[in-house]
Amino acid sequence: MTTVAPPQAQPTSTRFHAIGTTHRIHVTEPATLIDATAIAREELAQLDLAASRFRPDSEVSRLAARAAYGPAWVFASPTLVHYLGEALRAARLTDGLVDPTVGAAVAASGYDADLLLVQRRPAVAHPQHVESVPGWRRIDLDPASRRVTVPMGCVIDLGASAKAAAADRIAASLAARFPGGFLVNLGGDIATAGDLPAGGWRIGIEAASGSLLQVVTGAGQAFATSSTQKRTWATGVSDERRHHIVDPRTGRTAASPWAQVTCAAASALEANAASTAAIILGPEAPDWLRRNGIPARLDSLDGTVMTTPGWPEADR
Amino acid sequence: MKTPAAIARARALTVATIAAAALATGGVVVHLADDQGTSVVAGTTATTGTTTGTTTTTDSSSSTTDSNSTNNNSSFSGVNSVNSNNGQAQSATKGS
Repeated sequence: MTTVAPPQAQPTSTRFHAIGTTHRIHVTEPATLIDATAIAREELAQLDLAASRFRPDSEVSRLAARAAYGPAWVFASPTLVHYLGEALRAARLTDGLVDPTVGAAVAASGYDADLLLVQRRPAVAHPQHVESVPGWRRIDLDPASRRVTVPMGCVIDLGASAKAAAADRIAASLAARFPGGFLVNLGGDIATAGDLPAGGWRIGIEAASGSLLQVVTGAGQAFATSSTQKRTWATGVSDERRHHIVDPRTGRTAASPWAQVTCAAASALEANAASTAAIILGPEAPDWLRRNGIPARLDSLDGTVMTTPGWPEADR
Repeated sequence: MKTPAAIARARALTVATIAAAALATGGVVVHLADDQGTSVVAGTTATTGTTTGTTTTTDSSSSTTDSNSTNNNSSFSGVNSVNSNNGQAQSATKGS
C-alpha cells in the first residue's frame, strides 16, 4: 500500500551514468540514498553483462554468435531470464510491436555499436540492407530450467524493455528493503515504489532538446517516453536520418509522425511498451492507446500535441 | 541438503549426459560459467535431430527465477489518471 511520507520529508537524489545513459535515484529518506544507489548500480552492471549487444562477453552476444550457425540454446543467468521474460511480456502486451528479436535488424540499420561510435562514423559506412525479424514467438524461454532457445540468425535486443524493467525491479527492491519512498529514473524510464512525497512525485515531460514540456503528478504510476529524435544517426543517403526504434513488421526504422510519446502505466515496463508501440503504430497510436487504457501525451513532428483520456491537458 | 561433493558429482554427471546426447545428435556443447559463478552448458542445436532432452537438472541453489519472468498477462494493467502539477519537476521522463 502506498502511504504519504511526513510533510517535512523532502526527496533527495543522486545521478550516475551507466549502460550508455544517465540515471537518477530519488529517495524520501536521505539516509537510504547511498545504499539505494549502490543497489541500482549493481543491478545495471548485472543487466549490462547479461544483455548488452555491444559487449562480446555478454550472454546475448554469446548466444547470437552461436545462433549464427543454426538454432541455439543456452542455460541463462537468472538476470537474463528475468529481463528476457519481461521483454516477451512487452511483446505479448503489444502483439509483437515491441519485439526482442529485432537485434539484427537494428544492427543492419546502422546501430551496431555504442551510439557515440555510430554517430561519429562517416555516414557512408552505414549499411543499407534490411534484416528480417525472426519474431518473438520463436524464442523459447523456460524460466524453471533457465533454458533459452532461439532460431538461427536471432540476435536478442532488450534495448526496448530492459531499462524500464530494471527501473521496476530496482524500485520494488528498494521499497522492500528500506523505509521511505523511491523514484528510479533510468534514462527517462521512471518507476516509483514505497511512500509518496508530500503532493506526490513531480514528473517532468522533457523534449529531445531538453526543454520542459509539462509537469504532472506521479501518484504510483510509472512513466516512459519513446522518441524518434534521440539516438539518431545520418545514413549518408540524401538527408535521411535513422533512429533506434525498428518496426518488427518491416525490419526498418519506424516511420512515425511522432517526435515523442509519453505514457503512464502501472509499471515502467508497460509504459515503455506502450510508448514504443505508439511510435511504431504512427497515426493509429491514439486509438490504440485509448483502447488499452493508457494515459498518454503524443508530441507530433509538426509541434501539435494530442493526449488520451487520463492525461491532463497540455499547455502546448 | 546435498553436500558440495554430491552436487559436484551430480553436475559432472549432468554435463557428461548432455555432452553425450548433443554429440550423438551432431550438436556442439560448450562449457561456460554464468555470472552467478555456476556451471553453465550451452549448445548449438543440431539441425538433423532432436537434442538434449536431459538438460533440466540445474543446480536448485542457483535457479532463483524471478516470478515476474513468468507473468503471462497479455493486457495492460489499469492505471489511475495523471494529474497536472504546477510545481517544479523533480525528475523527468524523456526519450533515450
